[in-house]
Amino acid sequence: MRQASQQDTLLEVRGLHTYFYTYEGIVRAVNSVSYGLNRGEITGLVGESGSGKSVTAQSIIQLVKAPGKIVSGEVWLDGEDLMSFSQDEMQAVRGRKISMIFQEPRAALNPLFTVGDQISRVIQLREGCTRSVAESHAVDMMRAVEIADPERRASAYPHELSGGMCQRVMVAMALSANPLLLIADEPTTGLDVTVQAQVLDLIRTRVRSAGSACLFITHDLGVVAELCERVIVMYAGRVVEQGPVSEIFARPRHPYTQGLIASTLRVDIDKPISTIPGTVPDAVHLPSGCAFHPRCPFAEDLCQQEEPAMVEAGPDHTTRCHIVSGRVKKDMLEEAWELEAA
Amino acid sequence: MSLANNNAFIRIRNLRKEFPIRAGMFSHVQLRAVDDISFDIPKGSTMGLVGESGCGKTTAGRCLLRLIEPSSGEVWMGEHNLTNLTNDQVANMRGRMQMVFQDPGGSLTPRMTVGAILREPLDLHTNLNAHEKDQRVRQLLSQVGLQPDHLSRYPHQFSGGQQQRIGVARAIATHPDFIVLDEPTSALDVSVRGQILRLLTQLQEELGLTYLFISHDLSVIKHTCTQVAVMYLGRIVETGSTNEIFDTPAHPYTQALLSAVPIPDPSQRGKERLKLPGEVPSPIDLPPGCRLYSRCPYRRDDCLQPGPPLFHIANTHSAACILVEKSDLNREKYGVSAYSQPA
Repeated sequence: MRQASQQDTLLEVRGLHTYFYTYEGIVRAVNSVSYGLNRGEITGLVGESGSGKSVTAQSIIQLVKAPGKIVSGEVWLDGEDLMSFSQDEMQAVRGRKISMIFQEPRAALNPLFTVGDQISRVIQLREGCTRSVAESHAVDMMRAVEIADPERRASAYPHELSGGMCQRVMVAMALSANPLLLIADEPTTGLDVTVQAQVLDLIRTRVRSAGSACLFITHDLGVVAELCERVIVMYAGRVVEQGPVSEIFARPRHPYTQGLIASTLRVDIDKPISTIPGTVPDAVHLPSGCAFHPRCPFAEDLCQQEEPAMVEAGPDHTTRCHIVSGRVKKDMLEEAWELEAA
Repeated sequence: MSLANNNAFIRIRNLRKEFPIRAGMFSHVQLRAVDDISFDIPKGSTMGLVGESGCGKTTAGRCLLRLIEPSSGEVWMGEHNLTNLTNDQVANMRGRMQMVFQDPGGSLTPRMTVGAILREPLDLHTNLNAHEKDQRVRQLLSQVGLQPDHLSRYPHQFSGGQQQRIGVARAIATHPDFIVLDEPTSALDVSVRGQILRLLTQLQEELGLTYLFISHDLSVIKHTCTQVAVMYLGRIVETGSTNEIFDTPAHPYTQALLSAVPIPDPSQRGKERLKLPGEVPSPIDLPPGCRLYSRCPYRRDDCLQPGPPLFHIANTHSAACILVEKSDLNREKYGVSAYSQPA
């Protein structure tokens, strides 16, 4: 058994590679990804569509759909290597030690059973208790996620509930197991802002009080800033920057993170619309060297030729950029993004 | 109604749309999707219509273009009252008013090439000859930042951002005056969203377009619109210039909406928020009074009286809340502490 790192690390992912073998070629959806999640902390995983953030989460619970395959890597949860687990052992981890909340709550719930049935089924399987005990526990869980009138709502079918209500049911189901790790994959993307605020509050208080860790996948930097302690930024299958939230937002070092922050519109201040030029690269034919170089305003020859390694960028803050490592001598001027806006 | 002395380009008066919903075997109830809304859009400016899902903003946008028949009310574009026109006359007007849809992939025919998609509105609404159409299509492509060799490709060969550029090119093909943009960027990634917004602003300046920008995303509205109308359950609850709405929101719903938007700055975490409990009620069987009554932290018995109408606050700013009428924007003295700290 390896010794725990300096902080109270619950989950550690090391050198994870997940590839999709398609007719067009190999898609390196997750390419040498390493990070750790601490107990009692919410870690935001940010990136645009196709950056590999959902596949990273699916790889942790080993639910990558074909033609995807976990090629190599280690996933340590609470001192155990999940990659060495058999199918049956892994099935015992899912829903107990690790639970997941999905983006589409209505698609993730079974339309043929009442929501109370579905929550109590999870509890019954885990506890091995009787049905009536599980049912009363399910109502308690629904009350805990602030569903009004839980006794009556327990006998409702998913289609009878609103999107926000279904997402609360998903949260209740995911948390009923008191999991060590909660993975939330864009849980508020389809919800209205006032309901999103309610669901975020709920996840925040439940994760804090249970002392579990949470991997929160989102593309919304606003949500990350409000909810998370740490951030991992992914681009084209690679982690390009990670560190504490305050550090990343105050001193983003990777040009992609800088571009993302610059192009996020804000309701509280006026600023011109900045954008990152170009589009997310084709996953099969990734650019050579640093995958971000065709869109990077600071790119030099070296960036095209050689992939940068992860380097220290500040306290507890690492990034993957030749400029930060000092191999390319150049100043990253904030004006570069504003000029794009002009 | 004295609409003649009003120089706004688009004028909407008392627009309503009701959908009959089957309640029993022989009975129907009316779902009031759009309930008596009125606003003006001056030529060359952008009106933002903002609200949560189900508030009727998309229905309102479609009624404006008569893609859905409004139940009652008037829509004026320039000197034309669109609601009085016959279907044929509306079809003739279509070239002057266009729409850009939310789902860029779904709104483009998968079996048509980009060239064919862009030529179709020209075939329907212009008298250009084949050569002129060809030139116009190429011009459109370069206007929205695509390459001429994209003409023979199909929609699925493009990224979401490029698909939306095609949607924009199709909308401006017939030199329209007015475009309804229905959530044009909500399906796009953050870095691409800015590109589309900038393209829309640039085209507006070049072509003198008038926009109705429908969105649930307040940050997008703030950066693109000159005026804003906030909708809740079919009614406009607050309207005004963008600065008025974002700097001094008067209606409790607008305040709650604004304070619920996450700010991408961790140092602002823990700011006070106005929280609305519960969710949007069903639009069937609405109470006569304020639609927000069931969720409003400032509610009182007077709120159940029919109405409230839009009360004037300043300049173009007005809000449909009886507390505004009483100039009672400082609600704290009522001892209502609606703002709460997050956990």
